[in-house]
Amino acid sequence: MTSYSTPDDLTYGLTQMLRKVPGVTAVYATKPVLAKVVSAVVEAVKNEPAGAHLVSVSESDDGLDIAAYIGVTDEEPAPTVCLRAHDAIRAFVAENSDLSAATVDVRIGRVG
Amino acid sequence: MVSLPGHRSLGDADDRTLAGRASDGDIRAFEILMRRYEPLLSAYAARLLGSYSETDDVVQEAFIVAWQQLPTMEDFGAVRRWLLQIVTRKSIDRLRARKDHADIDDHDLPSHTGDPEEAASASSLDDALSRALSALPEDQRRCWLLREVGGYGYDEIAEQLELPPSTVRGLLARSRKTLIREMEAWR
Amino acid sequence: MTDPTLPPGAGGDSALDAAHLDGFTLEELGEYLDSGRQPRDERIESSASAQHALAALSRLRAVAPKVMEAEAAAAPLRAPSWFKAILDQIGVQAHAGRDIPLAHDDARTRLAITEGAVRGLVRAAGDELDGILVEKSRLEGDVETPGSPVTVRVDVSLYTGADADNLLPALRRDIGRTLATHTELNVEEISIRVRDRDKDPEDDA
Repeated sequence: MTSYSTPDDLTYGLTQMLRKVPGVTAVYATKPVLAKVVSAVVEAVKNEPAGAHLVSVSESDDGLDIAAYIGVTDEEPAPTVCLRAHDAIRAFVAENSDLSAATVDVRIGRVG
Repeated sequence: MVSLPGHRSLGDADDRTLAGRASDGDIRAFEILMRRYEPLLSAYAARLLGSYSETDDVVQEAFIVAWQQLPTMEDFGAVRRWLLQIVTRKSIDRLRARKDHADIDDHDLPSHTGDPEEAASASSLDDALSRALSALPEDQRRCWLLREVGGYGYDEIAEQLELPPSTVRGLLARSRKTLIREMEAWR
Repeated sequence: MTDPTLPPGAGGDSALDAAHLDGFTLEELGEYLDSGRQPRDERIESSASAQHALAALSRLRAVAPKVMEAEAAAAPLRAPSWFKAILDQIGVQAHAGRDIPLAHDDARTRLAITEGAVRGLVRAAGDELDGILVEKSRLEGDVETPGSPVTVRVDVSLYTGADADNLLPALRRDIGRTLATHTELNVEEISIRVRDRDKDPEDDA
């Protein structure tokens, strides 16, 4: 079994895992793109077409704070898929990290 | 142009409709605009830059900026010109940066001698003018492109290219003279 | 006024050669054309030579966009992945708007759908109906507080011949349904305003 010893590994693993959750159609970057950082977007387009590290993970006193931004299908209710993605994140962290998930934040940016 | 209503026709929708929708956050509408204008914007950027290698970056940046600025756009019907002007600004930024690193010699567009004989052998008037455009000195070509393709006024061209308006007038006149000569030679 | 930009004796028989310009300069004529031949200049309009030069300048102007279009058409098509890479990056960021919460009983969990995603649902509802186009929509009310009453305002256009009496209620019904399915908004009102009742395909051409 793969172990995810650093937050960077974990964010990679979570990004890949979320893409496979039924009803999740896309995983987006959690950090908003501002006009000032157009060059950063261009870099991202060039260097990381697959978007391998899109889920953000940070360490706090209580454990890991995780944020994900996803697109979901319109073939089932969006809140259902959102909850499924959330549960999958908690399960994945429990299984793959020494630290437990503290806050988990899942936002839907697009339906259908 | 919108010919039929309904969701299957968004691809045929006119610029005004697509830009309006894109400004409301409809990325599907924006994608259609991207596909519609990417070839023109790339050709224009390549001409301004005199290089293909930077064209990708410029057009990419222009689309990202366009998406961000769409909500503030005033006339959705003028999206073509608006996109061309974003590409103009992005291209000129590059040219300025290049000037700061003057050792970079990045001109990989084929150049033509542009003599009337060659123009006469071109397969079409468009082709003849393409060749003539390649043969123009850079500053003349840029002035002409900004005026005739970008739709800029004289003072705006002067401002963009950081040239005195009188110089812009002279460059435009010379570029027109050369191009018209090519046109006449082709006929 | 002489034209210092033209080399002396630039020969040939072009309509734009200084010798053929009847005393006008090429800048002068170019500028006159660029200003739409306004205000009308009788000196220019009554000179046959100037008219000849203006005609040549106009011809050049007319072919200018075609030259660019021809170069664009001749360039190789970009791969779909080029567009996709850009779209994925810019995708949902710029227009996300407010976060609309989805209920969850664990305080350490925050689930939400963005305002941008909800507006997308409203557009999609319109796209499923023939004859109507959702142009803009907005959510009014405190969408960030669960249960707060929300008004959905929608601007639409109707195509020529569209049956407004049936389409508008159908759109209201479909928007209500999709928002009830995919959000937990307390939608109190769906207000539809028709901006263009006779959208003609030729208008924007």
